[in-house]
Amino acid sequence: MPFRKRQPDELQAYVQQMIAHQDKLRAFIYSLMPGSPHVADVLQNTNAVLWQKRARFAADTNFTAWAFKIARYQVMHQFDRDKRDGNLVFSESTIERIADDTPQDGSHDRLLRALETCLGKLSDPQRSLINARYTPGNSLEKHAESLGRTPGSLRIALFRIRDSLKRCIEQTVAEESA
Amino acid sequence: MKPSELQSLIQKLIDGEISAEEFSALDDELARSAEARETYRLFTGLHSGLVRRGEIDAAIHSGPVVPIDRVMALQRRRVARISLLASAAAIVLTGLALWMTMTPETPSVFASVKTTPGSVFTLTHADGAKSSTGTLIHPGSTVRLDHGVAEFDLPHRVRAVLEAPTTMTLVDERTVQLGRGRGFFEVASAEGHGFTVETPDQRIVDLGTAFGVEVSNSTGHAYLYIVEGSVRIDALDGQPGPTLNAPRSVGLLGASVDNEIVDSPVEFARSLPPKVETVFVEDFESGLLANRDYSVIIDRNAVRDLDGNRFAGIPEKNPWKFSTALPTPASIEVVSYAYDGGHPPSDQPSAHQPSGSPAGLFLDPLNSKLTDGNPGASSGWKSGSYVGFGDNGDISDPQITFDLGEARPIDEISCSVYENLPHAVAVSASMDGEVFSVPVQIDWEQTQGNPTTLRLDVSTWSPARFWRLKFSHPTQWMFLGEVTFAAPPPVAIGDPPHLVPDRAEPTPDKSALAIVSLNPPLNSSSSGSLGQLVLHFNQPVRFGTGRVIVRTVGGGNPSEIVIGSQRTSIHESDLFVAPPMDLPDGAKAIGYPAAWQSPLPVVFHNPSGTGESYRGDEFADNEPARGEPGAMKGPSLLSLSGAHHRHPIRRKVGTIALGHRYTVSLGIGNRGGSGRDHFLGYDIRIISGGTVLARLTGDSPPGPPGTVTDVGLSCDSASLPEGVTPGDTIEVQIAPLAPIPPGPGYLDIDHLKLTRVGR
Repeated sequence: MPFRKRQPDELQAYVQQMIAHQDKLRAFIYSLMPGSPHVADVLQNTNAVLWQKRARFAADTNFTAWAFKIARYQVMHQFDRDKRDGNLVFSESTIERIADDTPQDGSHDRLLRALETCLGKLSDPQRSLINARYTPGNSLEKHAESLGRTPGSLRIALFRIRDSLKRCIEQTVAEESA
Repeated sequence: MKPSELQSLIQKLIDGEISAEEFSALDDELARSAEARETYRLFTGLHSGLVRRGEIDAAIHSGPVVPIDRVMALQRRRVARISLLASAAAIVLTGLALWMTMTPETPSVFASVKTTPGSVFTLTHADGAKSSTGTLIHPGSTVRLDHGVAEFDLPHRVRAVLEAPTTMTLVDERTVQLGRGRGFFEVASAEGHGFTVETPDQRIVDLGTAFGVEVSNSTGHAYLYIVEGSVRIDALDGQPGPTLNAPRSVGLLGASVDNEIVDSPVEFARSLPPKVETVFVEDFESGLLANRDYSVIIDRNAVRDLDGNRFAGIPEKNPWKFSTALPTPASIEVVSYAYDGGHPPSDQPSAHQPSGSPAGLFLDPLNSKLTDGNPGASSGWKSGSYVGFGDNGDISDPQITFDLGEARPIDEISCSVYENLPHAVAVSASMDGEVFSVPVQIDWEQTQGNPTTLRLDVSTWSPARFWRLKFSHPTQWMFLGEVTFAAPPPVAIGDPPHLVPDRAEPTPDKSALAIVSLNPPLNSSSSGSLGQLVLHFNQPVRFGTGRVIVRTVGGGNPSEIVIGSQRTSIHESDLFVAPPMDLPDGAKAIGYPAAWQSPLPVVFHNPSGTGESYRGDEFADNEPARGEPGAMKGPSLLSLSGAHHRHPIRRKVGTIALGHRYTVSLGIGNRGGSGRDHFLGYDIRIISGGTVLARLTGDSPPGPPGTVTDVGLSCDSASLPEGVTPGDTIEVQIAPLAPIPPGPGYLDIDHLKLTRVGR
């Protein structure tokens, strides 16, 4: 494909697309490598490649598909490194199926919106537990210590909270789209 | 693999605690089962969302100010609260910077802007583009701030702090235009002198100062509060006007002082407050349909008392049934009436026949109604209560005037009319001698000689004492009877209707959790409704687990509402449930909005974009448009129209906190039509008790045809009217503007948002 200089408004649209896709991309990468400490790196690399290849993107084609494809390559690159390091990685067929099943519409936005609603339903202790797990600088261990409980018991509580959040999200999304 | 096992493995994976063996099992399951992948996708999506949220929280706590480029970039997304603070990856911003340097035609950075987190605004550039190019604000850029506070660093060390709702345009490096709203301006250097704020009627020129300007959203009048130094008030054409010195507060009229403002504390934000709090949001997507039979069941365990005891539920075999009626207006008694048509009225019943004479007006002494006795008993008329007019050569346009004793609002005038010969007759009504009229035509062809009830919709008229009905061309004989004036249904204002015990059986064990009453009451047929279900228990309750299932008899699919979802709430011993309206694309339904005081039903409308009004694909509910353009949120609009016009909908939305500024925004639709699609105007009030704290009216739509556009108003707890104090309730009231001349029309609203900012 020949390179061509993009017009400023095309570039602006491209940048806007990039920004608009950050959450979706991040969720997509998480779905392929959950629990990995390298998600942020892969997202950053994906963005870098998206930017480098801006001239190759045809404006009237599907940006999500384009970005997901790039993200998937980046995940595979990371997997190669992880395999070398002896980390657990999904088989290629699993990756392929997860990637193929990932919806490219607004469903992740709906999930995020539902998540906000559902977090509002949590009790204060539940919310502090979520904050302890997910706010950078905090940890379950620290939180357990401050509460005088074991990290193991908090982990079980966390499982339950995630489970109820998941059910609430399913319900909220179903209600929204009913 | 069992679902519980799958979920456990996924969670372990997320937390990095999965063993190699477990990982392998999970990998197999995910490769094999689409259902497992769906569960997996939800958990990882949830995890990703929580990670992101954690990062956002960390960002918030590291400082209150969010750079505008992030805000702008993210604000356009619908996940407003999350997006506002989401971290656009640094690489994207690098990309932006790169682009700016690559495009020499991009204007240079002119002013920098910061906003308080939670602010809602749009930035439009001179070329019309709604840009996300961050701090690039240059001549021609307009900022429209709907909620929150924004601070501008302008050239020559001029600082401007705007409070919502405000619209400001940067004209050049020394001039801004304040179209509406309020701003505080501080000119910190001598080179900044001459800095000018243009308002709709004058130019406020700095001579070394700090000052606040407020331009009324409704009237466009400007008010000036000089804090330091002095300013000059020039005419719009630049003609210099008077110089005013601090401290002074004045209302302006052109290039002169209209009035002094004394003893009225006015505060302006002079820097960015830490945050904007959202007090209340309403999308008008839930309520009860009018004129339906409902049946509700509630799962066991859906509610518990504070000790954890379970509620037995409302079972399928004995459901909570009720009906929602269309309200019937009350009748108004006529005190006296007069006839003007050449023949004096008679107060004696007459036994004349339709073909006889004379013409005249007759009173039925038994029920104080107009009557001619029993003019048509033989031809199947029901007896009594008719007045006859006849043409014996000297009558033209006879009129009857009704005196109601005092000025009364009327919804509808109905009268039975009988024309006994094949001629058309027209009836029109007018009030208090004014010329407004609602002509109604009846034809012989239509009536075939039978009495016909005419209904004149006069609901949009002002209250009046004298009403006149005028009859045009009653040739030969025409009879009129049973004239009634219907009052609007009583406006229910205040707390939810008194909850009448009905379902409760006194329970032997006082500690058992039981329902004391239901609203709407069991087996009731109620008009006037809060549009939601209220279960009042014998003690305070909390959410259990389960569902509320709401069916309309003969209706579509039942609504299943999960206990604990946003459609349910608990206040002490009351459980509130707001059923979703769930209209298909293009549908309309009459109903009551959940939790709003609406004495009359409103119309819920989900425009599809293919109708007479609201044309455009963006109104269709399919992805990616979602059917929510402009200021719309959710697929439906709420319409206040026709007979409902004088009756506001209102709702308590919070209490007044000390030292806060409150801002309301509301989306207003423009159907762009005429006739029945006539825009009625809007009248939005923030009230406390009976006192108006802020009011915004407009008689034309705020946006172009086929759009939904926000309007805004605000009030400040630092300057409350007498009799209102912090801690009092805040209510929002919305009604169409009383139109003159009256007529049918609409007011479409959506997405009400109330925020507050602390000083």
